[in-house]
Amino acid sequence: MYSCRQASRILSDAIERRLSPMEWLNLRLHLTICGMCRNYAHNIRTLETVLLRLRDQATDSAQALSASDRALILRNIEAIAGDADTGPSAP
Amino acid sequence: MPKRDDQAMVASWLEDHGDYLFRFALSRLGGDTEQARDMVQETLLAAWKGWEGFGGRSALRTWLVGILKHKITDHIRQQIRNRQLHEDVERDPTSDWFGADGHWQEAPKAWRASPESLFESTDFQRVLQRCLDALPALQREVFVLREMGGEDSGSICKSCDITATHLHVLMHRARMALRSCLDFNWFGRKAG
Repeated sequence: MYSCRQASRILSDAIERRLSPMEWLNLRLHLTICGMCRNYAHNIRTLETVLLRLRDQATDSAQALSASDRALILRNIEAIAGDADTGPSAP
Repeated sequence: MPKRDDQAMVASWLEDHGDYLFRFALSRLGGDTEQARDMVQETLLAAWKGWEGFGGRSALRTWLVGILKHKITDHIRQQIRNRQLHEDVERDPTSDWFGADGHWQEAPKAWRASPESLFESTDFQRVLQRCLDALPALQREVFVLREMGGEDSGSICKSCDITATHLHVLMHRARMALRSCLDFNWFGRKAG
């Protein structure tokens, strides 16, 4: 039988990897009798969902380099490339 | 001095792929815009220097993203070295949440708010960001790469030079810490 401490670890692992049948069974058993770990499971699921939404938003977002960022990048590259007088070569 | 053609070439890469690379870097660097901009710059510079090795075997963007990934990995390794991030390996911070018998010290209460309402609250997002920033550095790097960057375990283990088990431990500790931080700073102790 898992302690709450073990159950909380396995709950996190369930997001990261496939649980063994034994782990899964032990976790189920623990959650059946432990309201605190059910609450914890609920909360980290909520957290996961919010983070996933944020990730999707970041991917779709219109976040872009500003004109001044672009100018800065080009200026810097020109300066650095100018110092290395060898020009383009294979890495 | 780069030839005029080279300058035009780099400028066109920046034009066509700059924003994509920027967003890619941003999501993996926990929203650090300045660092993300520098990563784009370093990527374009490396691409310009290595242009002859490209050979058009893949799409230009794929090639640029490949370079960027290496830059991000290098950056994270550097961060880990600089800040001596293995500090949190020595002591298990989850001990704070459990007694010697493995029971919760303080019983977690279920958050009532829906993920949608939390996601739509900019105040919540700010608190979440603060809680993320407060994580020990290696936990933070790993958690952000995984959750915000959507990276798979294998590549994170390679970037951060850790085993899969260590990654799982770090993710677990990060979730514990975030849950607790959000409980304290957002849901309040009385949140039922």
